[in-house]
Amino acid sequence: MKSLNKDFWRSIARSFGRYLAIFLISGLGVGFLAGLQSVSPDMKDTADDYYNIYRLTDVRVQSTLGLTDEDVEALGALDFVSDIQPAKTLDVLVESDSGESAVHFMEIPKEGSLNGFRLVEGRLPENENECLADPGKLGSINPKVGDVITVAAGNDEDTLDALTVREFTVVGTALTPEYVSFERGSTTIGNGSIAYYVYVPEGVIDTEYYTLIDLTVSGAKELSSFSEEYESLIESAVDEVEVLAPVREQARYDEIIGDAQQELDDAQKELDDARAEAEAELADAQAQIDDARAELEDGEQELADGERELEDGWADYYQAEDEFEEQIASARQQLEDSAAELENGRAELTEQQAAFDENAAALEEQLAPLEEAKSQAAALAEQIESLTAAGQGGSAMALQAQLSALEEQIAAGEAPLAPAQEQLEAGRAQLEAAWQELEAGEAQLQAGQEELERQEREGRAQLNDARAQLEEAEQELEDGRAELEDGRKELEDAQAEYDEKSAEAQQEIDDAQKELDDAQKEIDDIEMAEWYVLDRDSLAGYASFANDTDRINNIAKVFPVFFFLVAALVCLTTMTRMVEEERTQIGTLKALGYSNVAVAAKYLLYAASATVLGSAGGLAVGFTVLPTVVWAAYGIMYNMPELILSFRWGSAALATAAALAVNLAATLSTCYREMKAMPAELMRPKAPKAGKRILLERVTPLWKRLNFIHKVTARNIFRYKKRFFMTVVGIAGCTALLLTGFGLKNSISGIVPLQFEELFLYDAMVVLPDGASEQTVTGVTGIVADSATEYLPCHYESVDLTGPEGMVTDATLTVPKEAGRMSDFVTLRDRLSKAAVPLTDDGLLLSEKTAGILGVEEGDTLTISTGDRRVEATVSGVVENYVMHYLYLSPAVYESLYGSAPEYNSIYALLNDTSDAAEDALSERVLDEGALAVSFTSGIQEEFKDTMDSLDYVVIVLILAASLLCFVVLYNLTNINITERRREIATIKVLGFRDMEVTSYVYRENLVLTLLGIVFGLALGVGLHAFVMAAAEVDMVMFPREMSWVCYVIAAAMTLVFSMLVNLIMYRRLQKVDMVESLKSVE
Amino acid sequence: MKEAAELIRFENVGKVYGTGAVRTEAVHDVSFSIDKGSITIVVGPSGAGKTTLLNMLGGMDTVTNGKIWVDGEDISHFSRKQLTEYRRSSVGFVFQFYNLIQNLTALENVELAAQICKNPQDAAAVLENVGLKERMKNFPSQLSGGEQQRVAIARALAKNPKLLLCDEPTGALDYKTGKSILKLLQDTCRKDGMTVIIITHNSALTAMADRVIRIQSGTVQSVTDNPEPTPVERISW
Repeated sequence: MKSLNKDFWRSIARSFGRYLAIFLISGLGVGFLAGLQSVSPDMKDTADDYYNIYRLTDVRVQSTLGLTDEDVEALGALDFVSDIQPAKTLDVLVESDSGESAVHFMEIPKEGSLNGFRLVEGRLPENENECLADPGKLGSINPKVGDVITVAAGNDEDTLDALTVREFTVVGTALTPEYVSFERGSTTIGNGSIAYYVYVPEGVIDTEYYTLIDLTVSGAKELSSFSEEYESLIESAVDEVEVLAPVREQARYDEIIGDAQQELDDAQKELDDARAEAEAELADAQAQIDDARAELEDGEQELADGERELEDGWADYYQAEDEFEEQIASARQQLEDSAAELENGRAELTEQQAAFDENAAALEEQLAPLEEAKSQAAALAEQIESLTAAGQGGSAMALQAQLSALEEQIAAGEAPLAPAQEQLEAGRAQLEAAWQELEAGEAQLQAGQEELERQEREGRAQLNDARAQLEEAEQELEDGRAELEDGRKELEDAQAEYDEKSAEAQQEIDDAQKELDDAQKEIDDIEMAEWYVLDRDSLAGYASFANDTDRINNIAKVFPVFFFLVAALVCLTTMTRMVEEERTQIGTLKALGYSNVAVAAKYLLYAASATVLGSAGGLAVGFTVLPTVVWAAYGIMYNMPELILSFRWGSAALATAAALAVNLAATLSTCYREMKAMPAELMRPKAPKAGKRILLERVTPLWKRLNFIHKVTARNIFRYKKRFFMTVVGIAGCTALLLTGFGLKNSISGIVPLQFEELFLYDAMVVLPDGASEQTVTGVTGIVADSATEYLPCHYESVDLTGPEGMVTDATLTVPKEAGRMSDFVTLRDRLSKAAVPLTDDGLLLSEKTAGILGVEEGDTLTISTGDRRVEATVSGVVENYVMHYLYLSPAVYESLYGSAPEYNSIYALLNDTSDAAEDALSERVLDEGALAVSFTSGIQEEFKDTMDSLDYVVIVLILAASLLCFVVLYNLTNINITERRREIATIKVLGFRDMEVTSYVYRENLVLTLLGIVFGLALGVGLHAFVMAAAEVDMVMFPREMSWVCYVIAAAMTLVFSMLVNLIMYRRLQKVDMVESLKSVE
Repeated sequence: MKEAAELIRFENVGKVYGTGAVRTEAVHDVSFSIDKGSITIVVGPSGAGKTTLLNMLGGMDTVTNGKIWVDGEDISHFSRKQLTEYRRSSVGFVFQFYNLIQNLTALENVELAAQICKNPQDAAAVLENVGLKERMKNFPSQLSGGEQQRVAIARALAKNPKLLLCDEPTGALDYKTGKSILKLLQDTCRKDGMTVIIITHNSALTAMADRVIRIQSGTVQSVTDNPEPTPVERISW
């Protein structure tokens, strides 16, 4: 057997091209089958591993009223919970260099806790002013390491209150399995969608409650997240949590209401106290003012009295003055009269005096000697006295005598004079008396005058005093009045102030009361807490990831079939040719006594080794390249760690076995005939396969026009049927793959313009919160009306639909306020006829795919469920739609079904301006006004487009596969043709055929087969495309089945280009055919 | 012997195969000439260098040294392209194993050659001349060996070549058929004035030639002119 072994190896070396063809096509088939099959599991494994490493939550509980430690305790007590972790999150408007955006704040989880993150860049925050940011994807506007983000002032108060830090420096970026895709979810702030997330240190979000509680379910980690076991485990966990929910919801509600009510009551009490106090204070103030007012009035009274008194005083005074003047005057008159009398008396007296004095003077003269004598006498008396006194009595005596003498003389002298004297004396006395009297009178007068003067003076002084007194009083009064005036003014001021203060106080109190009333209303409005018990499907991107991988799985079931078919054909033609070539050798070996098995073993081994080696290569490539390429395609949409590639023995064994079975069957069938033949027969050269007339020759006019190359080609094509089938099937497969690839891309990206341009005519949809106030509705509607050419309020609601056979799907129920205008916003038409399907007053329109899933047609009945309400309705029409499920009802139908008019909680609008800036502005305005969300058709369209772009990679894989397929079959065909016709080729070369003529002699066949393959391929491609579309289609989307003619052209053109390339490669082989071959004998 | 112009002249032609250490000198210093309208037989044992001469003369191979003149042109320095044109218009080949295209009928095989040259003969007429009028529409597999070789000769003649180069034309045929083929070749030469060169190992055939060139070990052993060539009918081997 040694020589047989040698022969085996030499055969391979000699016919390496053929071996390569089997190798390649087996590799292609096996690689594709096993590779495609491993894509989905690899992706799921990678995701699952990622989830496990970072301990992604299994179940997440959220509540409309926040969650508490008691909730954590209650949940933790559930027996299936293996780990539980509450967390605080907050959606915040943030300002950064890229503008204001809504950002999801999360607390940095503790090391080893649930929902860990992967630090991509930078470091962990070291203080509360630092944060980690979402790394985003190329082209995103996320903050970079080193950027500073600031909490916008425009956040509502609760949000601002809940944040202890307002400015953060990004010190690193982190990825989390919570966000595997680029969806970041929606929010009620900003433009309604989360731009990115940040991780802030613990404590920065300072709320009393948790926003979510995450928990892992024991035993879940060991299961793949995408397995049914996992799903059912989690489902039962969710169910159990839901059982707990009502109790906790009630507790939380009570707590919140209780706390709030308590707080409110306290506040009310405080307010009441404050009000009482204020009122008391005010009353005091009023009393004071009133007192002051009374005092003031008293003062005024007093003042008036004083004035009156003063007036009286004045009156008295004037009267007194008059009287006084009168009295004085009369007294003066009397005095003057008296004075005149006295004057007269004086004058008389003076005359009397004068008369007297003459008498007295006459007497005097008579008395003068006497007087002298008297003086002498007096002098003597004095001398006597002095002498007596000196003791000289004697002399004194002497003198006394003289004196006595003298005195006698005197007495004598006097005696005659005595009567005159007496008379005179009497007169004098009289006169003196008169003088005295006069003087007395005068003195009296004088006294009277003095008296009068005194009296006058006194009186006048008195009067003056009185006047002064009066004037003083007047001044006093004046002052009093001024004082009073001041007092009054003061009082008025005080009153004004009081009034003001009082009003203010009242306002304040009223405001406070209103606030409290509002708060009360708010408390009254607080709805029952509602728990949302979510599984991983609720995480952004989680569900779509699973869906996407499943989609790949669907496609994995289709493509390899081709490769296997082509592999069988390649193997068949190759082995047939080989066995034919070696028939002499087979005959010789048999003649030498080798058994059939030993001889056939060579060929089987040849095919099997090529197949196994090809499979190994295919597996190596398929298990790495296909998952990697698909992963790369999805990498645009998903943030995941490096793909974990696995060698899947099951798939590998299955695919290899399949390839072996196919190829060995083909080989056996070729060997079988030769083995049956006798050695002698085999050793004779086999008669060349007879030339045969073909059907085409009957068309003589045409046939005649063909040159010999065409004729040879035509006959060859029909002579070698296996090659024909191999090539046509292979090329058809190539074309079909290309058509499918481009068709997929074309159809799927066709959804975007169809759905968002042709069908969804509206530019924006504004969603209002449930039970929005009249004011909000009016406000939002006003804003929408401002920027829209047309708008239509609608009722918008998510419902579940159930078909007659029990199929269930979710859908969006839309009830336009005016049924007739719905078609201005959404094109309602039949997909095939494009005929409008209007929404009439008794209409219920269903989107096409939805109808398909439910198995309903026009006139059929379906069940619409909302919560636990179920109504039955009849479909009046089916409308074209590609994305999601829609159900359109007229208001009349809605009312007849639900018994109440719909609440118009959304607005469809055709906008004036659909630029990004205008849409952003509108979005901001309506959200400020209280709208819940705004979606713009342009935005959804963008998002969708991005997703579609990742299909390019799938198209690339298909192109690669198609080109490989094309290469293998054409290479194999050309290879066989050249080796088989080596002699013919050498001959025509010898005959002087030019290179081009020789080439076309061989290649024309390739070209014709290629063209034929393309034609079949296009037909096949249409079917394959439809199949793949159906297989890849998710429930949510209906792919348009139509394909642009461009796809056909591209698929055909690319196939041609591939075949040209193969021909180009084979051209050298052709050139190398030696003319000397023509001289050799036939083997 | 008639007066005849020289059609082919080999001047000291040598051919070396391989390069460097492994050099095989297939022929060396071969010189002879062939007249127009004559039958020349190149004869020698296997490995003597007949096929090399044929290849060089037929424009299938290049010359290492020396010159080959064909109708006044030196083909020894022709490029690949020029050689193709030379084969196309000047040479008619007749192969030992006929080398017909299996998928073409007899007529089509002749047309195959006729279609590529400037001044072809009518394919049907040529076939008629070689006695295959009735079998024109048959595929090679439906023809006997002799008939196939006739088709091959017709194919070569249809091109109106300057020379007919026959490589062991009877090698695969039985004696009788071989004889008839040789007769056809001789007739073609005599009647149509075609220059016929037959390469064979069978020296019995030399009698029918005007000139016999004997090759031995890569060199010309002798060039003998046959003043009275024997008609094929009278030759036997």
